[in-house]
Amino acid sequence: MSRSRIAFVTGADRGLGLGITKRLLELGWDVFAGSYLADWPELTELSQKEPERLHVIPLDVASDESVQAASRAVEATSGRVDVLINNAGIATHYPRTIHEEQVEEELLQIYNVNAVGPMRMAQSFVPLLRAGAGKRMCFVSSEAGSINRSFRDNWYGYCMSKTALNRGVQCLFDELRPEGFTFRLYHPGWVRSYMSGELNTDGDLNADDAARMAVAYFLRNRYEDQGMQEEDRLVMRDWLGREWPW
Amino acid sequence: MDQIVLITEAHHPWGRALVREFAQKGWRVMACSPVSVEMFQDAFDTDRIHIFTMDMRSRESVQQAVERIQEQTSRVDLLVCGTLSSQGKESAGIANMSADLVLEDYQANALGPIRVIEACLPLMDHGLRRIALLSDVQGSLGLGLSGAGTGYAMSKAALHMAYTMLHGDLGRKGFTFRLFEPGPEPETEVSAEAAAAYFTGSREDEERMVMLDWRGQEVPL
Repeated sequence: MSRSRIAFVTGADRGLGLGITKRLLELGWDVFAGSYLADWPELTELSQKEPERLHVIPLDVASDESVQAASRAVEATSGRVDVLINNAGIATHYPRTIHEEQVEEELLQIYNVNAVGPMRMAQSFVPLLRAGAGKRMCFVSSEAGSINRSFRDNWYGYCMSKTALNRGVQCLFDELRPEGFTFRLYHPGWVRSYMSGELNTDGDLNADDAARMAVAYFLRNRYEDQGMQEEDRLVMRDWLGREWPW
Repeated sequence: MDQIVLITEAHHPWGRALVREFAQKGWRVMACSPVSVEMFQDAFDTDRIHIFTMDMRSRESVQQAVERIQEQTSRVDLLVCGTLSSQGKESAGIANMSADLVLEDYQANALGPIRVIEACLPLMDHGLRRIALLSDVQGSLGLGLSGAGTGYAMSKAALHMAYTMLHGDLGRKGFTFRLFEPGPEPETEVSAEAAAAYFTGSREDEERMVMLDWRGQEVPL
């Protein structure tokens, strides 16, 4: 592989993840694309167009073994990653209030993918990021995880998973920022994507527009001047540039 | 009419102290614990305390316990949801993280209280309608402390989100909440006494979402 810039994107089969992958390729990056849906065609078609720069890697972020196998595959191919984009996420179709019976398996699965998945990725990919130039970890979170703007009566599993993710990223930031790692915690807006299993046609943004804005923020450096580094402050920002409270 | 409190994790030193505190105040206590009843019933020598086996990690266990509790009482005024904490099992740092433990923490610390609340709501239509949740400053996004295991901190943050959602929904139906950090073990007796006073007293700002530690200090969520 050439000495170009390298990103790893999780949940790249469709929706926002596919959009981010396409955008990074347009910008000249090499991309490792984590693929959960082996029979979903778009990523495969894209890799046929870009066989040199797009590497499709089977990945289930809810599985330790799968995440470790993905990091070994990248290690064997490039030995480094400059930017890790944790995009994979799921939600339920049937948000329930406390007055209804929660679906236990679903609550655990959502947490395993949305909150634990990015932490697994961070754990396995830290050595590859240390070997890279960017040392940047990006996390697709959500306004739904903001405790200070919480307004919902239902959707416990999704909201809790994103709050927990934000707290997990705080822990990572605390530990890895002193080593020079930088972080992007991001609310992409309401995207017409497949997060709940089927295409959401009501979203505000199409996936490619959402991806364009996300990638711009993920790749841009934040303000730095004498004695002042914006990177030293962990924030969650959205697709319009607004900062969200925890 | 006796007031009735349900306390989970009553076998822990702090839970035990809280059970005794409420019994002394004249409340009837439904003390729940995942360990077998025989293991700790000697700790409570009053007929004000009823002991039940309840494992908050299992919906079935929670439902069975609540069915047995319904044989003793048709009303719960105050629900105190403690948590099975794994803090200490897990050290800080991403390299030390075990995904299995992170999931266990969530099962116990976030989903456990939701299961208990869901099962107890029918018993709380009348009476004080108060829910107390035990948490930890490590779950605070506002403080963003370091030093705890990642999964533990994440699970407590998730609990705080559940608290905000419950507060919004049940608050409109007349429920009030106490989110409380019990503090270090050496302070168990003082902390349990402070907790009992806080859980039973009124607050002038019930509309606000508030987390207090055992010293009465407000912790940002």
